[in-house]
Amino acid sequence: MKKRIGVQFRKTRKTKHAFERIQACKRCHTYHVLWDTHCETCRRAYTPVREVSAAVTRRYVQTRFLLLGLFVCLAILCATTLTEIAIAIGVGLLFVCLFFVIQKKYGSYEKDAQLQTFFSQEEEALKKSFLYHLEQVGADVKAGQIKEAYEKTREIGYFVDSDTIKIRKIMFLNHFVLRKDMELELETLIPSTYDKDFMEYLREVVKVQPSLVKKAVLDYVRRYKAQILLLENGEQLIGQVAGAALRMRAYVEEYQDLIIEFIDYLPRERLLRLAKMIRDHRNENWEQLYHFAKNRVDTHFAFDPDFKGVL
Amino acid sequence: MKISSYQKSLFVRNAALVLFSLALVAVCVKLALGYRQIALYDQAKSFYDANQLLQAEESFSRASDMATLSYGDEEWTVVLTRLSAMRRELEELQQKLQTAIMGKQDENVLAAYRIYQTMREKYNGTAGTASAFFQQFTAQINLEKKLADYYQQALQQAKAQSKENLEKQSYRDESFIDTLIAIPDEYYGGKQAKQDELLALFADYEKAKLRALIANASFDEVITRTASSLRHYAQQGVDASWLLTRLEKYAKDELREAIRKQDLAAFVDMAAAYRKIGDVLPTDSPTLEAISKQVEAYFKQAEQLVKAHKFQKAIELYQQLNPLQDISKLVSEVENRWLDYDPGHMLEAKYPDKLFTKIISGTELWGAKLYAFGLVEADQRLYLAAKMPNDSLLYLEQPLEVDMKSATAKLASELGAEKAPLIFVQSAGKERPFAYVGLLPELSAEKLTRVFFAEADDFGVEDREHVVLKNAVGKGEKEYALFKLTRDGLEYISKLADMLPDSTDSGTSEPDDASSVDQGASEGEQTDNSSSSQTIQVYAGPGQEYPVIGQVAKDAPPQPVEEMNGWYRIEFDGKDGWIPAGKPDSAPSP
Amino acid sequence: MLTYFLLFAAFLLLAVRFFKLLRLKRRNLSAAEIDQHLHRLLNEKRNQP
Repeated sequence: MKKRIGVQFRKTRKTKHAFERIQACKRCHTYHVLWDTHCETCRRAYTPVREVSAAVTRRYVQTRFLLLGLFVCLAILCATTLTEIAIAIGVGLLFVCLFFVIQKKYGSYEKDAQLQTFFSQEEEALKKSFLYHLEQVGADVKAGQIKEAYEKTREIGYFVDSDTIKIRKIMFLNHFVLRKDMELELETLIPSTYDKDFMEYLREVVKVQPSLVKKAVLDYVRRYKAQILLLENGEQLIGQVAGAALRMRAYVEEYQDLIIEFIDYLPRERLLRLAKMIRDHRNENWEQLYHFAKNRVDTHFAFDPDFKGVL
Repeated sequence: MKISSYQKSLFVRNAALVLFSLALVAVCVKLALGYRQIALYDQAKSFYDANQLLQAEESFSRASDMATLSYGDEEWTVVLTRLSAMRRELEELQQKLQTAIMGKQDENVLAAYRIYQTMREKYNGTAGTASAFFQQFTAQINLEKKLADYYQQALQQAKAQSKENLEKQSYRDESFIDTLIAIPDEYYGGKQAKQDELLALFADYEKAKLRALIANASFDEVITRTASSLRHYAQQGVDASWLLTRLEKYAKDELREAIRKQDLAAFVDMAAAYRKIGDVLPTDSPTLEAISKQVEAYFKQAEQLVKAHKFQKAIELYQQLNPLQDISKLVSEVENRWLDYDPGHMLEAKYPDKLFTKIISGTELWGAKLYAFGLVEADQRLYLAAKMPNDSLLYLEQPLEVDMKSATAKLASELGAEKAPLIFVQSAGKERPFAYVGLLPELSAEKLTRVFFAEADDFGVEDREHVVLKNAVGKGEKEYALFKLTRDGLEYISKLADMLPDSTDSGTSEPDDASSVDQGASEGEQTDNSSSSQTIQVYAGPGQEYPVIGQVAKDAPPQPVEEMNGWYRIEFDGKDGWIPAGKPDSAPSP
Repeated sequence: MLTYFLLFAAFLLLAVRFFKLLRLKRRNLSAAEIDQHLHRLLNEKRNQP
């Protein structure tokens, strides 16, 4: 068993949307999702991609306006009589006013649409930037800086949720001692297939932050139950996961088969919580659960004063 | 490197900005110019309303030149547009005129004047703005004055040039005539005044010039120059009949003088030269008529000479008249008549340098219309000329290996065919007293063949195909032998008689059977006989074969007119006659 | 005549812009959709490790 090291992860920036994390270097035409504020190539400050897109939108609007102005000017230049000039100027001014009115009223909708288009246009550049980040991660790994590697991979993971990224993160995380105060992730690490390292990580993380166990995790455990049981202390692991599921009544409802199967491996506190939940919310669907819970309580916790009178 | 959307948007926006800025600047310029143009139009209108047409037109044209805006078609703009067109036309005219005056290009000045004249008539005729503007503008640019100055100067120069020509008697440069004619009527004071003045000027000039030419130049030069002047005047449309009259008179006088002096060559030269200038002469020119009449008279004279058989003189006269009329037909006719009259002329004309001993001529033998043959001692030849039925002349010759000094040729009319007899040549022989040569002309084959050659004491004709030779060399020696005439020569037939021991080699033959060879000999005897008398026979042609037409006194024969082949031509009873040349008592040998 | 053609072209430009903005307004694109779009873009062809 390898030695785990205690680390303090860098705080991740909380954003409402993933794209808010992307920053652009206008000069180098590169993108950055890490925590740097200045481009390492040209030392210019990064600009949030939204701002860049907004600038593009603004220029687009300006170009349209200038084109309109150009047509009006050409119309004035082509006018041969005073009347035509007057008409051209009048109509031109009218069009300019209308342009501004339309822009004011509907211009805001353009920004978001433009952002989407912007991403479509910058797809290649974005991917190239992510590849570069992955290279940086590789360099960190080579340099033995696993914490930095994980932190960078975590940032990348906000955008790319491939198994490769997840497994890398899991492998990096398995190097560390997990604590309650750490900003840990679980659901975002669930791979698409059974992964031993993930189970190893799950085993550690469920100890310190059982609240991270959610439906996706429970489904994963249920799906790969057989493989998990082959692990050393696999039953205990499933029992702990099942115990974490007792946090919500909905989970109890849905995963009672798992709970029933591994009721013997539930920790005492979790069993007590279960008994109380059954007592308080017992219904015809929970009969089997009640039965097994009662059986477990009667066989192993008959003399425990906390369990008395619960079931 | 792919450009990012950010950068692309920046480029596009900046490009649009540049274009828009340029367009905006252009609009500002256009508006400024348009404002200025409208101001000018307003100014033009106010001038127009105040009837200041020159200023109005100037402002209007400046405004129109700006071409920023078009003003529309109001009445005053239409008027001013027309005035602008007029102004441009006048300015262009002024430019052309200036250039033409500077380059002294009279045609261009005249063209400019005509244009101006047309415009003046067009605009002065109408009342109103156009007329007023025309007058004002032309006054402003001094167009009339420039034209007047130019033409006045041209007039002075032309008059000076004519005076100079007369003084120096040099008439090469007469461009002043064109100049004077080209100067428009108004600068003379009107059309009639111009005609009168020019007429007087030209008349004085041409008269003086003609006098000088008559005094110093040849007839040809006088009439050529005068004709050239006449043409010039005709080209320019000037009536120069007064000059024509003088020319006619001069020419007539000169021609008359030449006729009076009987200087045919001079007459012909003058007449030919005068006819050359026929294009300037009237169709009923009396001088030309006189020339024609005189030429006719000369032709008649030539005809008379022909009738008098003075063919050479007639031909010479015709040839002298050749420059005036084509005489080739006439000369050829005379030649034909001459030949008809004297066929021997064929040889004389062909061989003018040869001295023929005697020429015998005649008609209708050997297929020829006329023939003539004669001996040339120097060439040792007999020459034959024949005029064929197609009027072509054929010349043949045959060398003779006989003694030419004593040789005589004659026509042996009893030898050979009737229409193709032999030519018989008798000469002194080497082995015998006489040598005889027989020649047969074959004109169709263009040959003169030697049929036979014989030396004998005597020669006699038996018949057309047989001859008798006395003591011929070779076969027939010491006998009278009969020979047959064949194509290859004489063929011995038989002995007729033995030669008598005391037969002499005299020129005359006396065998009984032989007929006289030389028919001419009798005539010659007759000639000898006649020559011993006090008179000389006069023949129709230069030979004894011609008929005798009379007699003249031996001691006082008429003056010979011509000599030919040992014969003299004389006037005998109003016609030509021939007597033997040299001493009256020695006739030429037959 | 050309003046009017050019003014018409300007009008067309304005009209196209107006209808385009109107269409965008009706679509009412949200930030979440943009995020999803970005996610889709980046995960369709996975970047290789």
